[in-house]
Amino acid sequence: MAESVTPESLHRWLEEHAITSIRLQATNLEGSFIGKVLAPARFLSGLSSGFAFSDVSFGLDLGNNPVFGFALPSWRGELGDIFLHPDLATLVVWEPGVAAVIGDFRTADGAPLPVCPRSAARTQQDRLRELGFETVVAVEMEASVFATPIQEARDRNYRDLVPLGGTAGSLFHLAKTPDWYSYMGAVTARLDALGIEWEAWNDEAAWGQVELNLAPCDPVTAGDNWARARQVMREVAFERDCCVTFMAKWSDEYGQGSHLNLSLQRDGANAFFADGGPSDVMTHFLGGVMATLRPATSLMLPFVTSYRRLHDLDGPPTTLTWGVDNKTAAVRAIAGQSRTSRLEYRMPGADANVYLALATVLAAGHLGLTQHLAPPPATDDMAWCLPEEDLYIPRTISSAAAALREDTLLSGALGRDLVDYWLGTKQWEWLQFHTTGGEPDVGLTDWELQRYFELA
Amino acid sequence: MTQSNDSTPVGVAAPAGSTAYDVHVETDPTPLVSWIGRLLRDAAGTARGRAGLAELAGCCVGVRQRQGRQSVTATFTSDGCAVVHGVRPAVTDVVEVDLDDELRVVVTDQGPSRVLQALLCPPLPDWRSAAEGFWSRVRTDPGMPATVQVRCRDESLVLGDGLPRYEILGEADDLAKFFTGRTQLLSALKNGRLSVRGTFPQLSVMVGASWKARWNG
Repeated sequence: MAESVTPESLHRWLEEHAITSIRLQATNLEGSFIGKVLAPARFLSGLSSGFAFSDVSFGLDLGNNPVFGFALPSWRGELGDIFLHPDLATLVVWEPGVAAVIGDFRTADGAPLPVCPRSAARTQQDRLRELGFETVVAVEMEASVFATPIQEARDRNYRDLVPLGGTAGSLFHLAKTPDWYSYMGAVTARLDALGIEWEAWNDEAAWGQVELNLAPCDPVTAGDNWARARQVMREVAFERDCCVTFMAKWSDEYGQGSHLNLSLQRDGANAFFADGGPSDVMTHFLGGVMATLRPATSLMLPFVTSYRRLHDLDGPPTTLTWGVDNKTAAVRAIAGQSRTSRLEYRMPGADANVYLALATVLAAGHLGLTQHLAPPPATDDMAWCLPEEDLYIPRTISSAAAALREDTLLSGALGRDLVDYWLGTKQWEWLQFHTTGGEPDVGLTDWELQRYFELA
Repeated sequence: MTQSNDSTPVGVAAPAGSTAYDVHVETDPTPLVSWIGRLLRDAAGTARGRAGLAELAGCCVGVRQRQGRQSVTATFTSDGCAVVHGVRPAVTDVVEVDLDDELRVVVTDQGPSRVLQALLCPPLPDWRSAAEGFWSRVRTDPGMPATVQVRCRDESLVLGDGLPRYEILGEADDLAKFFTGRTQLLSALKNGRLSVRGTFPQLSVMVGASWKARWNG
């Protein structure tokens, strides 16, 4: 990252790096990477005013249809403009001659756009900072890579693809074909060049599936790194006549998630740590997380397909539970050691917008800290196959949206503008699924693959 | 996506002097379940509809979209019915429906299709009363214009008062279909049956209102 670049030094930086174009980068609500490419002169001239995007950047579904059915906020007009303001701390050389910068969306009058995912993460990061805490986040990413060119994948309706690395074994197996190592080697080399610190990657539970662990950092940077790492994985795949998907489930057999590991630091020390168990800070943070876990589901599992992962014994959590070192629960608490004490929030699918997921968890934690909330008793046993139906995570996009609609705690902390807009898009998504080709009681449908494989 | 098959009671206004007829729709209903459940509730509120429902007592009818994937199963008894998504193995009959623009039952000589057609596609009300019923249900929805002016040829009906205003224009039947949820605003605009004068955000709200008319009545 080019943290030292200022508006005044930007011209020189562009010249020194022989930049001939700049990619503006951001995510929409769905988590898709969006942006535009600018000539250097245009980039320099628009730096203070921001760069115009149509307001329907936040008003189209992944099928490219405008989303209707709810009260639109004042920044939505007759296809008016919203403005992306670059954050020069994120300026990088994306590839030779090409720079990239991530920005935050603002309205025409300069106010933060209420539905900007990056701004939402920053707001919650700052609220915890006001309490004296620095948030540290590490994101686990899961993706599936196929040795099938993307055009061929499209022609096959994204079915019967060839997993990269072969079909012998899964989960931590090293006996992969060289193309597997070559692909991830190229990905991590690109991440290194972009200044995105990664810690590890490994073969995951499905053929062709990889888990990439990004290094801990602040929440906004974690979101930036997640968004860029996904783009890098796509670009490297395309360059090699491969393709990659972050769908929560790309087949009836295999799902993929995106776990968030969080802790709070105060005065440079891990505030989640206490001798003998979770600190009071961790306990109250967890109290807020657990009090909002049900309404948070909608933001963690954003699409119809996200809910197909939720099967007992399959790996993802299915119940609104937490436990100490319990990976069958929705939230795992790791306690007792200063370096590693943290919460692992295990609900998000690989298709979640990590900026929004982080904003949600941090808002929940802030609630817990300020209202001194206590979590329910820990689940010490297996958190799958429980008899209490009311403990289960909502199982559909519509029931999760209903839980968020009925909630006041989380929506108050996140902001009603963001939540209401989100709920409007979820109702549209539900309606599109049922009325334009989806089917609830069969396996993964072509409708889902067409809509989510490349953009989720 | 797993869907619950549980049925929960919804309020039904029974015709005066008759026993209550309960229409149950499953928890977390699909759009078609909500729609058919609402139409059957409406039918249960009329003597003609109650007669049709009585004819179906003992039937378990699968309703399947002819050119699409939507489907429901409606199980009828003498004092109520339950509507769930999907065509269940227990069905005694299956009827097809077209959902392209509005719901139309494909009527055949056999089975309950003719009765269902009468229940699900009742005569249209006068567009004015349909508009007033619609307005009474949606006027307080967030973002709803303060005034909706409805124009039908030389006639006009003003609903509400003040600014902002919204204008809907169309023929009598097309207006009645929209205001009763039989057709959806977006499709009516695309096929030219209705036209509007207002903002893009107002269109979004009106689309939501037309869903409400369809699912909730």
